[in-house]
Amino acid sequence: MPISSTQVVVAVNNDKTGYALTTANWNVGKTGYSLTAASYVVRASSNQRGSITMAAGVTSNTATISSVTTTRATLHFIGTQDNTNGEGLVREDMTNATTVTATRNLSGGQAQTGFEVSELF
Amino acid sequence: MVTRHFVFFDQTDGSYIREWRGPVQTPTLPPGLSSEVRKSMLNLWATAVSEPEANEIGLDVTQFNWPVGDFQWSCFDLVDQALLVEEPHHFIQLERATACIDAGVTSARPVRDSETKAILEITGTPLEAIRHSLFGQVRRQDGQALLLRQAGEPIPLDLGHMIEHERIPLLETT
Repeated sequence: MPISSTQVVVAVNNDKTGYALTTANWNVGKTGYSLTAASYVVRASSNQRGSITMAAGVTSNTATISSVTTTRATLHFIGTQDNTNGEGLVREDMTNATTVTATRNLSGGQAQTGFEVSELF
Repeated sequence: MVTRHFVFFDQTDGSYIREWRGPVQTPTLPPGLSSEVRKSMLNLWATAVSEPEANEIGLDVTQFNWPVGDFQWSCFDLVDQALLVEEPHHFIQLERATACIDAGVTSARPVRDSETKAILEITGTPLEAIRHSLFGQVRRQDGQALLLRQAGEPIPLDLGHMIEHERIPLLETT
């Protein structure tokens, strides 16, 4: 499974005024200028990947993830493995900020389903 | 007052130092400021209220809305001026009621226990390489927690790092 990665890029304005976030400014004085993002455009994405197993007889199960804001997060279905035909027809939902739920109708055999949660900023 | 979340990194190597969230004085900005002056004033305000130490770079990360502690594996790239939250950590999840491993997650941020699920980090352990096949029930044998898989040999598990691991009832196996 590919690694999860997140990169948050802080876009800064380095021109003109002295608060620009240059290395020189960081190291001056007691605190320099903190890189507070309050006035900067921040672009970021956060990805998490996981899998959920539903044992035979189980129609629903959940996975716990790092907290996301659901209104700006998307859930991607990666795929399902099953050991009985049709047992792997699974629906995935983001139940809340830290929970992904997998649900199926048939539960005669075990199924494992994958997901990815991406959070956009 | 407004609630802000600040993270602090080492000025010399960008490594994570600490973070906190709390109420701070609301910035007061006169209307009609140019964008440059407004930025400057906001930076001064943020620096004042976040109170970075002499060796720290502070970042206001409030907009991410992540829990305090979620930046502990992040670092700040001093060259690219980028906050990096990309070190992968691997977790497996046990259902407390059955002591069965029923999910796994890879994330660059902590995954926390819930009422019904217990989380065990396996980053850097031999389990990391086989994390996609780590499903089954955990039982106790001779005082050792063992993962009984559908296929393959039982795997010893160290649950000592799992929060409230004593709440997971492990059946004895023979």
